[in-house]
Amino acid sequence: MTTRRRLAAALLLSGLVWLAGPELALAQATPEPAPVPARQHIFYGQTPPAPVDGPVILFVHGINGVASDWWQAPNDMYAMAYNAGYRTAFVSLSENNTRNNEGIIANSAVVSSAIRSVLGHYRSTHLFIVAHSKGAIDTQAAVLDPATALLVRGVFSLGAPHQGTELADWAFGPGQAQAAPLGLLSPAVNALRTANMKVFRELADQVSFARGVPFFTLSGRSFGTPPHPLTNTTGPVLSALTGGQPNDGVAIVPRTKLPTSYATDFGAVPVNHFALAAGSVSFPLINAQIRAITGNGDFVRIATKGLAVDGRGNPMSGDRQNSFPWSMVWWKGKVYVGTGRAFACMTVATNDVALGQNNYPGTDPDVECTPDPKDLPLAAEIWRFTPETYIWERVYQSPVDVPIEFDSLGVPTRFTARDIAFRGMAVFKENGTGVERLYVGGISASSLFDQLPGYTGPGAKRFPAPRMLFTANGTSWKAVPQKPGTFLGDIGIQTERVNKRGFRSFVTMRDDNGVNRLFVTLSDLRGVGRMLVSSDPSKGNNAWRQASPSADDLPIFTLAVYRNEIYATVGDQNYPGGYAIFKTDARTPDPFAPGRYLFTPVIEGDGMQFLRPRGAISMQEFLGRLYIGTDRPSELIRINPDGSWDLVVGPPRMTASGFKWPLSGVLGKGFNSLFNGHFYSMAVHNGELYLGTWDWSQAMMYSPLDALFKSSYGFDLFKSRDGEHFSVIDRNGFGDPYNASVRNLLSTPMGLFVGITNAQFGLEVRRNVTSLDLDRNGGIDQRDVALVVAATNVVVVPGTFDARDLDGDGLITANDARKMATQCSRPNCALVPTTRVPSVTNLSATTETVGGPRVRLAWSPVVGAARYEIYRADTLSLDAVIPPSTPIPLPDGTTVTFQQIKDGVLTALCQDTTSLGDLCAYLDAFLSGTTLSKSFHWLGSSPTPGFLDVAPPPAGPSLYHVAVQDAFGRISEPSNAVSAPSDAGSPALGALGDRILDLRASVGAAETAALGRRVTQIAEAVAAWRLHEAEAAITGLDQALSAHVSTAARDTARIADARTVVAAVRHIVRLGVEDRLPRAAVTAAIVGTTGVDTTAVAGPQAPQ
Amino acid sequence: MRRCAIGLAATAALLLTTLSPSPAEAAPLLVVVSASGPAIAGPTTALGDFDLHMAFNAGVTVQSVTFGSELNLGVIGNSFQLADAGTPGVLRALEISFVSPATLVALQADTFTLISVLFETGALTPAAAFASLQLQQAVLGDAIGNPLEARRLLTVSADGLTPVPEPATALLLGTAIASWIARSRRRRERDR
Repeated sequence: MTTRRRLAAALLLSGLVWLAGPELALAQATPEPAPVPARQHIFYGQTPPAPVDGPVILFVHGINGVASDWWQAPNDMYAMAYNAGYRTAFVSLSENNTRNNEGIIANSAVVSSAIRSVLGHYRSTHLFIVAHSKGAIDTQAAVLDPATALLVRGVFSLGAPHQGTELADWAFGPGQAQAAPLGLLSPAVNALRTANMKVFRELADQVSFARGVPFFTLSGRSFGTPPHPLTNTTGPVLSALTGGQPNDGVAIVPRTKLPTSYATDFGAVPVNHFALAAGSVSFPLINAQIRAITGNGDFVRIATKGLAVDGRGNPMSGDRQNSFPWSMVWWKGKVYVGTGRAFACMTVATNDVALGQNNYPGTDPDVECTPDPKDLPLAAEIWRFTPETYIWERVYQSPVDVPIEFDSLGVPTRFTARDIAFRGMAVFKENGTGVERLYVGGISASSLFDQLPGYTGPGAKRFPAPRMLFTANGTSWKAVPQKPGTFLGDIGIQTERVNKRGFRSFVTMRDDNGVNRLFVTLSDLRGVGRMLVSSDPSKGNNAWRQASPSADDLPIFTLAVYRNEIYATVGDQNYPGGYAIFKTDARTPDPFAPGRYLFTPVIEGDGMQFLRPRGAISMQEFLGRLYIGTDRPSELIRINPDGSWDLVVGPPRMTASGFKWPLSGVLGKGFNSLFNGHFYSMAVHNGELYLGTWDWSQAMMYSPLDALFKSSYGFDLFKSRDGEHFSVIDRNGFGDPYNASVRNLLSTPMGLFVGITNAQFGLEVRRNVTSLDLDRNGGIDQRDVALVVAATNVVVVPGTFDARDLDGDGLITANDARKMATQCSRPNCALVPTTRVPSVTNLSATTETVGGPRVRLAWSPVVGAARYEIYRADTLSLDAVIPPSTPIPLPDGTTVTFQQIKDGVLTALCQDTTSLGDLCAYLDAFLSGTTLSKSFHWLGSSPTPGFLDVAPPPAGPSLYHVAVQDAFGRISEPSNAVSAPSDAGSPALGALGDRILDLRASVGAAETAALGRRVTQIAEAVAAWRLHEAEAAITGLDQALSAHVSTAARDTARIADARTVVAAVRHIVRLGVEDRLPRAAVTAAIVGTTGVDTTAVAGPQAPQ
Repeated sequence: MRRCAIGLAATAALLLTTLSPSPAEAAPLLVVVSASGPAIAGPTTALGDFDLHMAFNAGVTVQSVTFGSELNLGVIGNSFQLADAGTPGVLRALEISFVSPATLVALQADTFTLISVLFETGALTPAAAFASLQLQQAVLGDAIGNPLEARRLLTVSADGLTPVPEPATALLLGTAIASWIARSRRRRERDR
């Protein structure tokens, strides 16, 4: 049969053949908005076909306006918003739907009421407001109310005379006669007199800063473009009144701006006041900014409120005390989640016991603790989720059978939970039978209760040891046997200084003989511990043993398997040299401790920054390298196959193997956020490395710094295609300030799962299924099913991720297609219109110093781009924004002022890092020189792939990224983020570091290290702009180098070379001291950045 | 319409030798592949997909393939269907349901037709035409795409052939179901 005949036969025979139908057009005619009958002044736009739950925008008109101004020709605002996927509503501020000229107070009440009506209509929790002219002032008045402010995620102000306008003064003054026929003598215009608005501003600016609703201002500067009957008349009047200042016919440009403390200015465009409200003028940038705030919605909530509510809003049997999704694995087509209970209450109660304090229940008003910690609902739970059915099941709940009070006869009268958290999980293939079992590690309540009567003193009972559970089917659980007198039976006995409260890190490895082993850490509540091993874990008792040295000597935090060896992150409060990385082949015995493995250092002594990061938190292999994220101050490093290592994100510094420069170009610790206290979790999914953080900024919520740091609340999430260039997915906990951290990232064939901690209101789990969107159009539909069908019988290369293999069995079959069909975005796998736009992947930045530092961005063009949107996350110097008298809350409830900290009131206290380590690190975050990265805001747009930022913030390097906007208003994911100024280049200290390393052969390793530390000191001092300290360090380094001239003659040339670089550094610093070179240029030349954040950063003590 | 049913292993040949075709009957033959039992065993064991590769004498051609209605609940567009007879002597028929697992489980019948195939045997006698009729491959998935064993689920019947006695049909089907139930019970007990 010929090919043509075969094809014809196939088509004829198919009862219903897959047809590559035309893509559904998005830009269809937009139906006119309609009012809801009960409220005649609120109009609702049609809901766009995709996405079904797009962001909500409420449009508020200006003076003499009415709702229909937004959609009646020639205004295309509604049409553009509809096409870009927004749900829209339009309010007429006169409830009878006539043109409105009322004052601020009357109108703000209407806005406030409309916000609630619209949210109810769309069943949304928040919305954006686009307001024209005085409508923005009415809106600002409405969101001064804290309850209303919580409902609004951003206000776009188009040409609003926030500072009043000379035109109103004129209209109610000398120009009254001319103003009357123009209709300007209304209450609305009266409100805009400069004196009236000055009064309003005094109240509104202070309150708005505290409310934290971001404002974005756009102005018009050409009253005659296009000609308009009113602005044609008023524009020249306003020009005459203001000495010719550019204006839109209603206000001069500066009077339409708001304070930068809560508003971002989008600049001025050459149009008149009314044209500003046209979609073609302002919608693209409004759209660009909203998408920067909301993200693209790829991470969909599937459980929230501690598993009390599923992703569709249905109630479940969890509760808010499921604070942490502390362990997660994928097994037999389901996600298993182990929870940690009542985290905040438990932490305070534990610290009370450990430190002899009495702080329970703590000061966080959003936490619900029982009056007595003995009553805390601590029974940990295990849940599982089936993606195809979206069904959650609680498959285990800890018994509450540990006695904590006894009567006079010793009979228990009160009990607590056997397991207060399940912190580690792994699937283990049993030797012999080959049966897979899921093992789960628990934490006991010993840290809370093992000092109670009955467990201390003569005849004391032994508090039950932490235990491990296992299951073969996910529903029937057994405890690993722990008979007293055996190894596991006695693990609750504290034999080392580092306590044994529970299990944390679980990994498995198969040795050369085909024997599987389960490796776990037995740790204290913080997570610091030692490694245990077993090849027959379900046997318990003596089938387990300790395989690492004492945790007092080798405090292990996290385990990972890399190149057939176990890698362990090592570190603790007083561990010398900061964090370290050790490895073991899990075979070679420790010559000094038979029965234990030999651990050898991979990185040791190089984890030291200004203050010690206590440990490294997360590990993940990616593209053949092992990536490691650390504790505060957070940096990301990677170990290469040859054992060398690179700094990927974090401050550049001198190390034993040279001056490390961050490959990502992002130099600020914590990805330019002092609040990112851990790089907490990593996963590789669909070829990309994801990195989630713990962000402790939310601890500032009830402090005077709340407004300042509001934009930082919530974890950050990043990803990278190459392990060097990272893009920012989210910096605000997916919009929930209480979503403090990403504890688990789990790659599965059914998507990427994100386990989010929320100590106040309960954990959340989200899922990203974009890996299933095979045609990358923005949704899962029958096309994606067809693509799986087209790949049936394809064998997946072992060890690789094939998104079409949804059951992960290595062979693509019709069953994978059915699984895909269960994940469709719409009922019956209906076609989804294209919403996804290709993104920029190779953004780069160069710093130009001519005319002051300017940042030039460049990237490759993207097909289909109508324009490119450029965003910047500004860096703030805390010095500049925190008033010196600001009281800073201390963990013990007292306060010190910012100025006192800067004056060193705590410096002496902090010499003793053992007792005050966390307190000092916490406070140190506020020391001079520390910077903070704010949220991304729209900076500008460009029709071509390139952009020049002529005014980067002076405080330090900012992050930039770029997104594509197409002709339909669809916006891509952001590009990789770059840090600039000075993203690239070879800083002088890098060259100096290289030269010092060259001296190692002649001066010895110890002296080289000492010289290296001096280089780091210079870097830190310059970055913090402590130039005299830098000069002193330079002098010290130079003297140290010169001392070697006489003793190591053969290296005279090398030393002279190094001293030449030192002289260059000294010269540059001197120029800075004398104010002849700006800070940005000095730091760029020396350390490659305009303000490396070198002070250590730490948040409150917390288990990880 | 005359019809026969034969319990079928995933790769077992159809046992047409048990039939007694008439040499004179060279008319088009209707072969019906049906499923039975999937709804019996629990909340996810409706049939969600199938992918059958049926081999037969290369001299036989396929006139038409009609899909059953239990994966799409009778609504065009509720499933992805593919029928391909492009390779001589092989028919591939695949259907992927778009219906939600819960709906499939609730509404799917216990026994139903997957596909009906009309074969044209040309000059061949039915016996010769289908001497090598067999399922080369049969992938079946439950409501959530987990594999189901074809052995317990498929029956094949052929019209235009002399039927085997009806009681045998019932017996075979009954045996299959009984075996299924017994196995399910055993499995549940082990899981406790």
